[in-house]
Amino acid sequence: MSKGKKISLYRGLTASGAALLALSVSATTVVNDHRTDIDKFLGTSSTKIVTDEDVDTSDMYTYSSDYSNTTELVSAIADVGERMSEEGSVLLKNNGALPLSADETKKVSLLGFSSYYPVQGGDMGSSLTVNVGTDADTVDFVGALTAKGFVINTELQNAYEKLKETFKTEVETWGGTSTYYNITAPSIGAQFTSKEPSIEALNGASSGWKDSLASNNVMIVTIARSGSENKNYTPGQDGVDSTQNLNQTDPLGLSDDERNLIQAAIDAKNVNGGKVIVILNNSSAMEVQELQDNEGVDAILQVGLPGGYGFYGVADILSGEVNPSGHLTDTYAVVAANSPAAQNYGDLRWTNADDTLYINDALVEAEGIYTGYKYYETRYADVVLGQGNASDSVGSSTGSAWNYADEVTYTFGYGLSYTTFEQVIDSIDVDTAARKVTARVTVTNTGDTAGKDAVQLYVSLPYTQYDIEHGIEKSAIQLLDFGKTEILEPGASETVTIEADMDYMTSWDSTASNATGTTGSYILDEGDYYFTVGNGAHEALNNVLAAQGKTVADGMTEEGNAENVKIWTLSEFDGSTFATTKNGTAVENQLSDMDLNNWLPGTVTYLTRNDWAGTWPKTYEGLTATDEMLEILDNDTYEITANGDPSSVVFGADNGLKLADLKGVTDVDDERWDLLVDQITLSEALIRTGFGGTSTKTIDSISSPEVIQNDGANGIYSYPLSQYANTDTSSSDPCAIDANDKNASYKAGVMANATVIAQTFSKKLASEYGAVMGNYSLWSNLTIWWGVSNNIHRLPYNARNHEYYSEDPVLSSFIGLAEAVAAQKYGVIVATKHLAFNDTEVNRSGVAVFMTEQKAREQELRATQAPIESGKVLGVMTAFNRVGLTPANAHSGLLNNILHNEWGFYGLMSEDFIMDPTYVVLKEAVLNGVTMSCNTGDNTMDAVSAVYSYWTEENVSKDATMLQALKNAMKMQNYALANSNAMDGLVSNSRLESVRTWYDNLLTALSIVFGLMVVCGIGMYVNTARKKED
Amino acid sequence: MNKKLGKGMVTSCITLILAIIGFVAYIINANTAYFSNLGKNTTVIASLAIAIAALIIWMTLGKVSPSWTDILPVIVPACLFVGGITLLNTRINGMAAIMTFTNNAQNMSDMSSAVVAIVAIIAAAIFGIISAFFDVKKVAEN
Repeated sequence: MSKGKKISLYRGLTASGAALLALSVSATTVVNDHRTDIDKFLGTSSTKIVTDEDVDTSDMYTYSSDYSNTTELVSAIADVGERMSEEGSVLLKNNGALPLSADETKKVSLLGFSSYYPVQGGDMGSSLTVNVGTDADTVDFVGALTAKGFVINTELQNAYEKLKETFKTEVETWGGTSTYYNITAPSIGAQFTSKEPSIEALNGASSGWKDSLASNNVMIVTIARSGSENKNYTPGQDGVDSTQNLNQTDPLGLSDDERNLIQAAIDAKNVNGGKVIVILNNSSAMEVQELQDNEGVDAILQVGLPGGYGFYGVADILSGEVNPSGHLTDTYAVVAANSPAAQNYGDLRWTNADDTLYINDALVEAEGIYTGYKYYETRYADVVLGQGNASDSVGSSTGSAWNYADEVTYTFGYGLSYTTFEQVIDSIDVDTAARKVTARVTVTNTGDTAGKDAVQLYVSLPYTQYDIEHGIEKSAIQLLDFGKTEILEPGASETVTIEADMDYMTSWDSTASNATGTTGSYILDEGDYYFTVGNGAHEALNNVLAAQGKTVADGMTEEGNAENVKIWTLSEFDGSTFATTKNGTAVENQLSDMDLNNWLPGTVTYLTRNDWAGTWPKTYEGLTATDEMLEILDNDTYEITANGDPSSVVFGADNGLKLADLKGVTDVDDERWDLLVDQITLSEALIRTGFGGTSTKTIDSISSPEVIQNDGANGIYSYPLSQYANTDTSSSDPCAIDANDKNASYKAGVMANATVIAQTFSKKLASEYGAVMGNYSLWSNLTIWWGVSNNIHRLPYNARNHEYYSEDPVLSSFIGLAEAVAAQKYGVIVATKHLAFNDTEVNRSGVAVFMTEQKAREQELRATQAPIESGKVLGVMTAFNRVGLTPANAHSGLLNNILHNEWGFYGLMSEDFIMDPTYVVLKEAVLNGVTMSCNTGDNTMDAVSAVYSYWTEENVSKDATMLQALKNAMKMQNYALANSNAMDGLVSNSRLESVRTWYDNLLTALSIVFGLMVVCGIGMYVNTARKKED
Repeated sequence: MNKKLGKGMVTSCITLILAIIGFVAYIINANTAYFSNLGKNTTVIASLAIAIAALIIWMTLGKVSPSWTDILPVIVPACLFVGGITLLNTRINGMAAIMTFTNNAQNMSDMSSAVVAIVAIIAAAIFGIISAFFDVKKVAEN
């Protein structure tokens, strides 16, 4: 080789070395910035807890599991999962076809591709984690039926299998492409595309499939609609793929391919005998009036998204092994797009939108409190009562006078059983001083099949002239509380006692004078309060109307039972009893800025039952934010300035305490808390609030450990059981597992979706769910559980409804409360989400949500109030959206005044997954009690200040207000950790030590090698160059 | 002595084109609604500017080795890697969010320029390494 070529070679080697050195050094920066997420992905750990061997470790573990090994644990989860669907599936129609006989279970034809590829969890969010090779493997519909002894028509099954690729949907996701064979929800702005194969396609796959129905004449047709975070159904024809020409008028309605399939089953039944049963595999309420009307359809069973074990329960319902006892969490409207809430939904842009500042949409919820059944039932009541122009054609599905029977297929709370029950209200005791309504309801099984029954306690509030004059709306009927019987044998009775919280039957009056000298208070009007029960809101309302002397002659759909109504009369307007919350905090208006009329006077007309026709919501789009509004919409509402006495706020003290010293200390006023938090340095506080990510990070000064966050509403599914489990079985950890444990890979995202949980109307079962997740938390060392999702179903079009319980706030709140309280017994930091008004996935980062304070408090906030106020959960996640104009993370009225003061929340509060520092609004968020963002970065001030330019020690240290807010945030977050199972394994002596992971060593080694490569390359280059010159 | 283009000129041209594409895509990306609030990263801009300038100088001067200009093809891929990885680091959180929680057509569109920039810059770095093994001008003996 010539010297010239050698020089080129050595130059190239030097360049290679330099480039790779630059790569490895740069990669080291990336690794440090994303260390915790890399650790989570690789299953590594960059810190460890070290405890000296000679210290007393008797109190190292506070919490204990109900199970002695993981086999028992996962079996218990599977058991709850099965029972959840047993009690949470809703029988909507049954002409006696169900239950099936033993013989009939042996000749089942499964029709519809969703029978073979059902939706068991969300596309994203509350997704099913499939477990294989464990002690509790998950199953699909076919697997569950087969396991329960059903015999499936294989000719049909094979035909669908041949068509499998036609069901496929591919979605680009982080790290690759996700492939679905079940139906998926449309992306934002996209249309629903039916994947149901046509009859012709089925004929092509099997010439004999129709013939096979003759000997397999129990025909089960599954119709599915999926749920997903960050997805959306667009109402009406616009939401349907028009190129398919399937006569589908709404994405939540049926397509011709689905109709034709059902008709094919009916045709076969007409020839061969048999049964046609429709399974609705959905979480958003569908438009199925045509199925209800179709006499060929013998039964309809709504199963929600049943998770990993729910289909066992569905199979037991079909066979009669279990008697269904579920009730709907949502109204099934004939045409969902005709509701008042639907008039304002979708992408409603500001005219002066600015996406760089997350100023995108304005969502005006002009329907007020009238969402779901509160609209349909109240309007029905007013039709019967002849008031409020309720019979006007506005909102009518027929174009003529509004008529309840034309608008609602199934009401909220509706559900059938294989037996019949009689419910009698024995007594109602209203104790205003104790803020309690005690109802005793005797339930008798009047049929011939054993079963459970849900008791739904409703109340109808007086709608008075005062309400009309002060803009207060009243639903004609509302759920107050609920209970459920044990299994009642035929003829047996049980008296269910419900102690309802009267707070949940008050109304928010924005005009009422209050104890603070301002306005806004919860009130009770004078007048008659009607308490009743019913199989759904409609039956309950009919009872009330009957008690008011109304009959079918007045336009009622059927006669009510006036005898099952108890009337309590309040003689005087009560504006004081509920003017303070449970902890004694005086209430006042906190959300008046959510009323757009406060910014743009006279813009919004809110729907009132006093005039349905005259106040029917128009669509508010093309709104223009004024300069005054833009000053808030630009997110920058607090300026860090010199104020107060910064020296009075202590950081970095040496008080000799560790977080473990306050393990289990629930008294926030214990002086040790302040001494502990004084030890935290300012830089630690700044970094810990600025960089949170998917876990709390270590705080060396107090030995606060990293604590892992986990989704979701269908169980703790973010990591496998073993990833953070203690695999040192020689330790004193009662929940240590062997590294080769059969269930090491198990993930607990296996429960049915939230609507199914709520459809049980069973606090007991919700509590059992919370308990098994609590146990899972102990074994997996996964402490923070974003498991209670309390946003309400404003409309069925929100594809994320599958993660939220119901359209009703009371049902949502008390199911969530039962889950939370049970899980917390095992040291779980149960966290509710999303606070608040996260009513749409469309432009959810930045959408400005407007409504009246009455709606805000009585609907959305009430849905999450009980787990926080009564359940004392230790975690809350805020929301992507704006509260009025203000980012949810920066709204003082919501966060400081309602959440912390009125409800007494004290604990960890995380932002949602907001990555843009502009919209993180960190300084405003910390001032309002947010303890961590979701942004991530290196554990240095340089890194955090690079993201948030104002977040420097020099800048913040002059602002006493901000300094105190930082300390408060640190105290609240560590208070939550100290009172959780995250402290198991730590004692006072324990300390955190850094660990060099294998990838740290690899990067260092590579840097050395590449550095040497550069040196060698330069040396050889110089040497050869000299020789050439010589 | 006839001067002819060496193999290094071809690979250097490819490197230059990719680096410019990456740089332009980065500037476009830094002005999208989703990423504009992150500002323009000085490390990325400086790295890319140095790499492009060094490459142009090397290609233009075309000195025969050994020469002081031999430092230029060493600098180029190193700077490109620094720029590319730094860019990736500033975009990774946003990209993760877009591909999960904030996925919509506009954000995907905003993200596409970041992907183009990162891919182009990393590819340029690889071609830059290859270029360093060859002279941009070939020396032929008569």
